[in-house]
Amino acid sequence: MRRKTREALTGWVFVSPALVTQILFIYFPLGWSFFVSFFRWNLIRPMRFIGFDNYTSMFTSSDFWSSMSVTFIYVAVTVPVSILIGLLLALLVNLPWLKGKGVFRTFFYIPVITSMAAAAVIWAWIFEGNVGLLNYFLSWFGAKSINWLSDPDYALIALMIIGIWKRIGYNMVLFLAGLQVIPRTYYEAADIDGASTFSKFTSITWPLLSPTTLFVTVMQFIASFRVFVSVSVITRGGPANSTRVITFYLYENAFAYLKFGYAAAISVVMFLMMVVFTLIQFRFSKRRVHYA
Amino acid sequence: MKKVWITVTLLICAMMLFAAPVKVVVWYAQTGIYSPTLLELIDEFNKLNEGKIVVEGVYSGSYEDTMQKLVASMVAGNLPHIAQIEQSRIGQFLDGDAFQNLDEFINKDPEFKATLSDFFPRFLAANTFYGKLYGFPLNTSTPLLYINRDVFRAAGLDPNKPPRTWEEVYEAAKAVKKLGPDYYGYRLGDDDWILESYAWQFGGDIVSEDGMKVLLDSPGTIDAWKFFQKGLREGVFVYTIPEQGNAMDLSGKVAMVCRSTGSLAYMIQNAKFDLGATFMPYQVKKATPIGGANIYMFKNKPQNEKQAAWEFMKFVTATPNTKKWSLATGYMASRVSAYESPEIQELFKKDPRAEVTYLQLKESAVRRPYIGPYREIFNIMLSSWQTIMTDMNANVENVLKTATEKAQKVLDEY
Repeated sequence: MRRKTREALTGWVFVSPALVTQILFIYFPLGWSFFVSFFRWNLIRPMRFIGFDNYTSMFTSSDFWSSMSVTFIYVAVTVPVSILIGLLLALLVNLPWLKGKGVFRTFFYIPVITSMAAAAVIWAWIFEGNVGLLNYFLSWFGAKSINWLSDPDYALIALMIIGIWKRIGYNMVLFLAGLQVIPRTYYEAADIDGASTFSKFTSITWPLLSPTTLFVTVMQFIASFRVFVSVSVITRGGPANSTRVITFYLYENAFAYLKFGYAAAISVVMFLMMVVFTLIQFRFSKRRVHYA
Repeated sequence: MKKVWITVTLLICAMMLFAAPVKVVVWYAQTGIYSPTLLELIDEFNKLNEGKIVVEGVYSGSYEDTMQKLVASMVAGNLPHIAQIEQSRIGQFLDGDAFQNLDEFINKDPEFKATLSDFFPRFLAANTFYGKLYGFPLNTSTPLLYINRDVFRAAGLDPNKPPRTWEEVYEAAKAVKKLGPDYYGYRLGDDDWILESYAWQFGGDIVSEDGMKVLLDSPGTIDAWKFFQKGLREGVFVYTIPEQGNAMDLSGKVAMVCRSTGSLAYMIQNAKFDLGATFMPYQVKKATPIGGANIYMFKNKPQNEKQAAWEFMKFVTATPNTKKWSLATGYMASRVSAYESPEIQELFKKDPRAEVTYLQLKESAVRRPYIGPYREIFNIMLSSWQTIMTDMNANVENVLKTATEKAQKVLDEY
């Protein structure tokens, strides 16, 4: 064997475990769901080819569009809010004079590592309309009690609160890492020039955090778009479709109604949308991201 | 010499292979207090059939999980022999011709056939499709009207004369409401079989008997939904999502609620008030659903394994075992002889609330909708119900008309 071939072979052998699992569990299912989306299949009766029927009935289904809009509202609120709060918390726990930073960082990070299924059950109790903790707190301020989870106007808000609570810790840690790589010298120079705290933030911190911000935005976007557990545990899409996000709609079609072809078509559309959005975000931010 | 040994060993191996007991896999979908009882029965069966049949019980998750796993294992060609499947989730299996017709076994088994009439007829009727018997009742129940007798007394009502019709429920609820703004006469929820009962009891329906037409916009269903929306609008009823049902029912502020007879033990244990249980109310028609799950055998299995599975099905539904199951779990015994047994009659004497479900079964229990696309149709019905329950200005006729059109489309495309 020639040396070059041998080297190439060794390389392939080394990557093969990862490659095989990737192909088996990611690329093959990806291709398979694309294939299945042209069929009618409930796993019990044989598959039947129906061309683009799944796609046409999806695009003409009011449920599909309503779950799309629910998803977009969810993403549009949770992403910016969780990034903003995450950034504020990162700035807070990064204050040089703050005591017990470790404790705060741990506290804020705990929701991230908490199992969503368990947390969702607790939140369902907090949001309970008659005996729930949240309404009890609100009653101190004279607020009327709200049926958080059984009122279509509030259920999605409740889920957003849970989503944000779950993710701010993750964002905080990433921003914290971003803050700590900004060289001290910039701030020292700014101090000598007599810059205010606010202008130091806008001219140094924010621009130099932009790679982190981009990363966080992309991650949060994808995570929000795929929100599932809280919906599945607490509201199951209700009341009156107000929290039926696209992932739950997909899940129901596949696993409750056994419409696997239709569900595959939804997943293909979701996949394409995520690809497109990620590309837009990268293109858009190319001009605005500064690397230190 | 060596050759002889090898031959002997091979022969013994072959003999063991032939004599090896037949393995039967049973999937069950309940945990908690239910699985230990079932596993005990399985152990007992295995001891009785030692060397011949080995039954292995496998937990397959919730009703919905079980359905998902069954279709997945169907594709993988790895089905269990028997599975516990919820009443309203069997349609696609029936349409796909996946279940074993049990009449084939019954007709070859005169001894068992003679005891068939011992099953409560309504349970067998619920498992008979196109004139063939496909399943046996395992954990079955009907919904009861639970009453907080303390609240009844405080409101000046006689808890020994509970409401029989929905109109009477409404009148009683109005009296209860006078106790205070946080008191409610009746709690509404999202349970599928309860929503089905409302429609039937007001003379309406959900899907036609032949499974071809959605009947959500039938006058009876409209009347039922208008009735409950009115009570809710006036504040005498209250609506909660399922996760909050228990908290509400046990709060002591709710006078009435419809729940499974299977909840009886739970309610007795947790209610801090004088708890009553009676027949589910009616309005135009007495009709209550049979809830819970049945056991079904799958067709695509070798005959000898199916024969072994049949033995187990007979065992589980035999009088002493359905009696044992019922006493341990609170679900209904499926045979009349078990119901009439001294142990169960003794229980009724101690607590008459436990017998209500049987009286109701004999009088009015019917099979729930089961057609293939039912889960999807139900979800359309559910989200319409939630609209009615949360938007007091929503027009019941319009909402149900839209739902019917949508559900009919699902049915037509199936």
